[in-house]
Amino acid sequence: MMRFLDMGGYYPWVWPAYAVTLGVMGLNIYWAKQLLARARRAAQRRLEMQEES
Amino acid sequence: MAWTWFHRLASPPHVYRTAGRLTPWFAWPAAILIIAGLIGGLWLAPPDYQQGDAYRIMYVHAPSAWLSLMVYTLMAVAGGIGLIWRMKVAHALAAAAAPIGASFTFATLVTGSLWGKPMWGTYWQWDPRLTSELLLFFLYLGYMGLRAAFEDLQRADRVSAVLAVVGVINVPIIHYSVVWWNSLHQGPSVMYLGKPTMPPSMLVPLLIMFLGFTLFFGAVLLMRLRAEVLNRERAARWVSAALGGEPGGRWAGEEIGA
Repeated sequence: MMRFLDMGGYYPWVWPAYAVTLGVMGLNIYWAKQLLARARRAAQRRLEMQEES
Repeated sequence: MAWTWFHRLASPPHVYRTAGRLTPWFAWPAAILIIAGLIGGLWLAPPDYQQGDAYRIMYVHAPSAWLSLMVYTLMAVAGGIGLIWRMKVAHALAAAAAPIGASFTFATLVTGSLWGKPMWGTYWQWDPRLTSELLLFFLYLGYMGLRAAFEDLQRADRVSAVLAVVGVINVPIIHYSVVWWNSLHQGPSVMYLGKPTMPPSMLVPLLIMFLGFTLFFGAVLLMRLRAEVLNRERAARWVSAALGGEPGGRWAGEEIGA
């Protein structure tokens, strides 16, 4: 296991590269979900305002 | 008349509904492929005889770089379609794709720097490939900044589409920079005319990652596209029908989050 984590001595560069990429992927999922939820809430609010007026 | 089907296919309610249905078909295969690619790239592939285990950065760097180029090309094509046929959904697609492309261009630059340090002895070099990729990152930022600068959505669509179309000239420059100029960056090893220069044990996990990243982009794009369409179609009847389950409406009874 330690050999695997050591990556032949290149661990200071290999693991941060994977962390950055997986972080970017995670953020993309989070942002997309937030954006869609916000758009749906805004559309719902508009609809309620239309019904009230 | 012959193009009626094309416009119907690209109608916002159709796109919204289809995108919702397609998202899991992209997301789950993407997750499976990326996990398989990570196992193949980190565990199963042998160390490189010259670069040792440092070359494993390639399994996230190369697919990120592929996305950075592919997404910008898609934005340019969508922008062109939007300009020529005045198709709102094409502009929405380009706008939805830009932040994803920018984030993967950022990942490309960072992972490339992390690969460069042990291989070239430096995190950054003003090399043709690196510089043109950095320029692509600025093009993405410029595109998003330009869109944000206009309150009028139609003007924002048109102006940003022109930037996307003009900026696409940078894509072949990035791709061929290692061939045209004397570059520190290694030459093409997968998209090489003829045979790839990698053994199958290294190549297969990389191809799996390429496919996984592409499907991941598809899933995130579809989610962002739905949000973009919903924001643009503020006053449209189908939106209220979709949200409120309007009796008799085409979207009645359908869950908007589907």
